[in-house]
Amino acid sequence: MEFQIINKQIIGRDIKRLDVRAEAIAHKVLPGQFVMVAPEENSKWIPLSVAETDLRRGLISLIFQEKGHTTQVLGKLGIHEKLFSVTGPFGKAPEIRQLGVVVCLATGVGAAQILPMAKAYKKAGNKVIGILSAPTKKEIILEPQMRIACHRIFIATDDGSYQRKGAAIETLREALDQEDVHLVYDVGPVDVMREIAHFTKERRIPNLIQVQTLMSCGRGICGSCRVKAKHSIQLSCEEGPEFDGHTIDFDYLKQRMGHRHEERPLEQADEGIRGFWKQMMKE
Amino acid sequence: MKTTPIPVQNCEKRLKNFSEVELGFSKKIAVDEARLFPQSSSPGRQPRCPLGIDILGFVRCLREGEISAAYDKIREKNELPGVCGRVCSAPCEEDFIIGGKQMEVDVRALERFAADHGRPRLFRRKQYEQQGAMVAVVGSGPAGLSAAACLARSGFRVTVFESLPQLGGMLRYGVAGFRLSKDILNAEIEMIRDLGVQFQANCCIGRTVTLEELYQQGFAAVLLAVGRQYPAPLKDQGTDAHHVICASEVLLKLGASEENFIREFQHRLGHTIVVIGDHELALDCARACRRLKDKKVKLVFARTEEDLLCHRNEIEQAKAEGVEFEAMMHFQKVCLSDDGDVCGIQCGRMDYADQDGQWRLMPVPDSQVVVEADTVIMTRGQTVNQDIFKISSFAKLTREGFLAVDPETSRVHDNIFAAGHAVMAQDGIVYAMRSGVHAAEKIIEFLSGGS
Repeated sequence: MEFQIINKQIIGRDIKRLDVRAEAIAHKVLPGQFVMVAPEENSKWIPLSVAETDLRRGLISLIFQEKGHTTQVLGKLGIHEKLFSVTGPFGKAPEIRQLGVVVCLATGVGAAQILPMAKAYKKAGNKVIGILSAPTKKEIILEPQMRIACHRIFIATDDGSYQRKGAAIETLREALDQEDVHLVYDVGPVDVMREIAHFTKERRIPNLIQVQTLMSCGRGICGSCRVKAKHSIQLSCEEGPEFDGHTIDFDYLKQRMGHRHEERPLEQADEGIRGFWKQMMKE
Repeated sequence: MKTTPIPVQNCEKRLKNFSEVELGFSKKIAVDEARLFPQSSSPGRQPRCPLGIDILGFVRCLREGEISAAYDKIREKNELPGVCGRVCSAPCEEDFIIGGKQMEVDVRALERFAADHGRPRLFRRKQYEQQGAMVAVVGSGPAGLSAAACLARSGFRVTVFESLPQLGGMLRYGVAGFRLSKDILNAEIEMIRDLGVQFQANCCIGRTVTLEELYQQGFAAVLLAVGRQYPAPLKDQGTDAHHVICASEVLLKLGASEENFIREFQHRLGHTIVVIGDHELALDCARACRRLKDKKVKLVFARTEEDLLCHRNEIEQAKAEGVEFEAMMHFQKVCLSDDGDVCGIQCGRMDYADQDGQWRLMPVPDSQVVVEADTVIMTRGQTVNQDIFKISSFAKLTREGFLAVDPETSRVHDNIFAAGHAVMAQDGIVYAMRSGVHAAEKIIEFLSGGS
């Protein structure tokens, strides 16, 4: 197992794509599952979903946005460098059935998670309508791949710099008016997912979401990825990351997703901690 | 007899680093200590090491100054002497009762000295004839490592699979670095590698590789030493709140990287932290949190201080580091403020009461106390990870959440064996190691009997 980076692309603003050699994982990973990645020996493990696999070469594609410290470290690695560790696939692979018409909606970098699902639903014989939404054109990713994976595609940007202007939910409303939809599958920020869950509940359309909680281990050791669904605590690494949008507690989810951004790079951390750490390094 | 306390790092200094607190004896002190060591324990009670180390024997060697001989004597029974010399709970030390009086001995420090100084500097790779059947060991924790070493010595070709990026299992990701340094752990694992054991990290059996694939590769038997890490459902009132954290998460982060531990938890944890638990995991967590800046840490447990499931040296060190102990309090619920933040935990007091003619610690009715805190770290109830069903559909869990095995043969099913904390309730690394050795013996029996 090598975890060598075979290819690296910058596909959007701060969004990068790495093709990593991990043969055993490439053969095992199913749509909806994720891998835990540590770029360097001392870095945190972060969950990343596998957007695409190349079975012939044993590659998995990881797409991520440079937000926190770890993703920045990951983004700095170049071609032919090695990742310290890639383990998985973790998460429960959801059952994918023929339902009829399925809307696959992604906001921003969520497209990396929606792509394998769209492909899987198409393969199962559904009509797939893709909706990609992002603040600007520069954050729309995986458009060509989604065009192949979906029967119809809508693209919306908040500032109207590409295709239609407006939020994801408006596009969804339009799509629902045009077609008789049997499932809405969405990935995105909590507020968007909450809005869509309310909206689909009104219209009595099933809604599935993928959550991206804080996660430390990916294999049910740490309990940090807990979410509240059907009034009970579940671990999103074991039971998820797919959940029913109508039963999940979004307030709780927001809390759990919120503190992933609390982790700041050390350089930006306040002076006190920096001094403390420097002193520690000296000793 | 009064033992020399083991030298430790200066207290103020050690709160600012994560290197080992105990420094170990110098040769002169160690030999002096060995000379003062009781030459025999009381006639009725031999010092019982769960692994069967000849304690009096190795101390006798130390007394003569033959450190390598002492090391060899330990290594006969114990594949990880350096680890045990640091983190063993030392159940043997209670057995030194002379004239009806408990003797204070520090077997652990002597074992540590023998391991550090008696280890062969240039370890010659012994040529073991490994022609035997292939055995897969799942998990590289204490049980997995001792079983692998035991099997390799008997000539089996052993491969250890570990799902985390680095080897050592809970020795790395469940024991804080200030108790067991990573260098020592790496060195001990290298020694086991030298016996001919193959290691494969980043390989999650049941997910990355399935058991069927292992059989296809030619493995004749599988030992599950997967441990017990799944945090039991957070059921009690309020324990699903945002600032309730599982201890395993804290130690996992600390084991992976100390820098990241500081970076993340300095902000995530509040200023007053309550750790609930009475074993080593809880104490490690509390001490790790004390190493962050401006944190007050309280340890709440339902036992008396003497009954804590930790070595007494560690309790003393934790006290010196400023961990406050709240003894004889049993946790009831987490108190939440109106906006859902943690504001404390509610505990009930415990006291001794007469129950069927025995003094037992019993909860005192109507004795609620609120301990103020803004972060709670829970260490209670861990069960076997649900992934076990992915590994093998034959696995069954008992009511308490352990893996069900045949106690006679350590077998789960046909050629699947299990060992370590996954199958038993007893905490403590040394018991996991014993169970690993026990299971390895059963595998040897099974494989040699079959062929």
